[in-house]
Amino acid sequence: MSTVEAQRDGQQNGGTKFRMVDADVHPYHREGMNDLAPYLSKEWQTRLGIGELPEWAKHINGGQVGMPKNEFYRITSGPLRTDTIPPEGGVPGSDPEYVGKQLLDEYGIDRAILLGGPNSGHGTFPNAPALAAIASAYNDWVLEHWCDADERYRAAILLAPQDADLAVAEIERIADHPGVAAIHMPLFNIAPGEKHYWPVYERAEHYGLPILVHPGATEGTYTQAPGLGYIPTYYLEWHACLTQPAQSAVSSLICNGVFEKFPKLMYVFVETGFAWLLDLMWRLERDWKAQRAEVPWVTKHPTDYLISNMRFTSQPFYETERPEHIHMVLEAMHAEHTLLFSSDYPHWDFDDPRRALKDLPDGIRDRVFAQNAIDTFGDRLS
Amino acid sequence: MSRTATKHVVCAVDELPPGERKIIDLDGRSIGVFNIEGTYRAIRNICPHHGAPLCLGDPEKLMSASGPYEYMLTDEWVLRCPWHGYEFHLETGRTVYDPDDMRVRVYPVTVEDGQVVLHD
Repeated sequence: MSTVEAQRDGQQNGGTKFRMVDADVHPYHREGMNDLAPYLSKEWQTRLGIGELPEWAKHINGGQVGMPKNEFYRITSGPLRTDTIPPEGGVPGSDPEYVGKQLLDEYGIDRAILLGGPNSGHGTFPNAPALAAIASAYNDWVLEHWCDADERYRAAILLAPQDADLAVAEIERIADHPGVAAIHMPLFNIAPGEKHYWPVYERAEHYGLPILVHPGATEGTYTQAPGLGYIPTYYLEWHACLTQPAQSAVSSLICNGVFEKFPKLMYVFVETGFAWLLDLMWRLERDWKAQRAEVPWVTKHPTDYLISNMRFTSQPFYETERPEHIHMVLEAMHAEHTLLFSSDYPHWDFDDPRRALKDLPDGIRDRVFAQNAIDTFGDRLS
Repeated sequence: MSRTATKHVVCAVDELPPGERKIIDLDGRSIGVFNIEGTYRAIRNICPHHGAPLCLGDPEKLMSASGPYEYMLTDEWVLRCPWHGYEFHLETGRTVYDPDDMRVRVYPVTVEDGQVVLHD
């Protein structure tokens, strides 16, 4: 075996060799929220209209509570890869066995981090206790139906971020489950650096669970959602502008001193791009030198926190005019530490690991496909 | 059609009614044959972007515009890739967004003696 082959043979993690970790896979429900009924109390089932419904509720919209999701834009190409519909029919991404074949087997993915397909917009739901009940039910559902079914799946457990006490209680309830590798924290209009979240960050750091944030399908269009510069008219512009809240989140986390307070906390920005880091970090670096006294707890260069505490997933990977363009981005963002491979299966803008990242330099390929994820999620992948 | 074109019988005409498709294997090449309102189109079943099974996507009429906000549905058929949604002209195999540089092979199809015939 040559040196190159030996390197590609995989990375060590507690005796387990991984070649590829996918940091963003979306499991979907077969029957919508009704899948959660077995995991909800009778009281919450009745309140939310999940499971058994009164007769009237079967005939009209509104019989079941709706979760925040942007429905102003119809995605021309369809929201999901149409070839991900399971062979026996049903919702794309809803069959753990078929996802195992079509995604994990096909590409040799050793571990996949699951973020709930339909629930990334939950941060904008106005009722925290109801959402906390739904989050708990989702977590029990994903652990039983996915993580227990295939050891390659790991759940990012869902929290209701509106109420830090309830979020902490959910972490305490479930953090030790072997299927749990991270926390999926839907965003809303309190900036991620603020003290509102610190109890959650304290527990996340304690349990070694990275915080994953993902676009919520609500940005700029719900009052409680992270804002955009303007309300986009079209899906195309809305989708392209989803990097904006992530930029605000990076600066919020750094300037509020989150990583001074919680130095071991890992924050993973999923599906929000990364080329914008160059502009943002250059601005933060320059401004910090003059404005440091406003935030004296920021004792290190902003870029130091980026390298030590923040990670970014690769999909949708850029298709630049020349490979040198993306190479410059990767070098400046320290991608050898900060970039994690992700496919976003089964969404329409899925990245094929064999094709989409062809311009990735050989020197960081193993780190992006496996080692950076192993370093980020640690023993949670074992 | 080049002089060396080889004929391949796809199926009997009534096995490929309008709105239907067949995906065939031609010496290891996967090709989709479509019946679009009575016109047959054959196109390579691999997207030149990321290698997706292009012919699992659905044909649709090309949306155009006479100006901002003025949608205009044309009579031209495009095939939309099931992964990233790129549109390919079914007649030429060229993409709508970059017809000169992003294209996939198409094959002539004729009907001979009640058979759908692909010319390779």
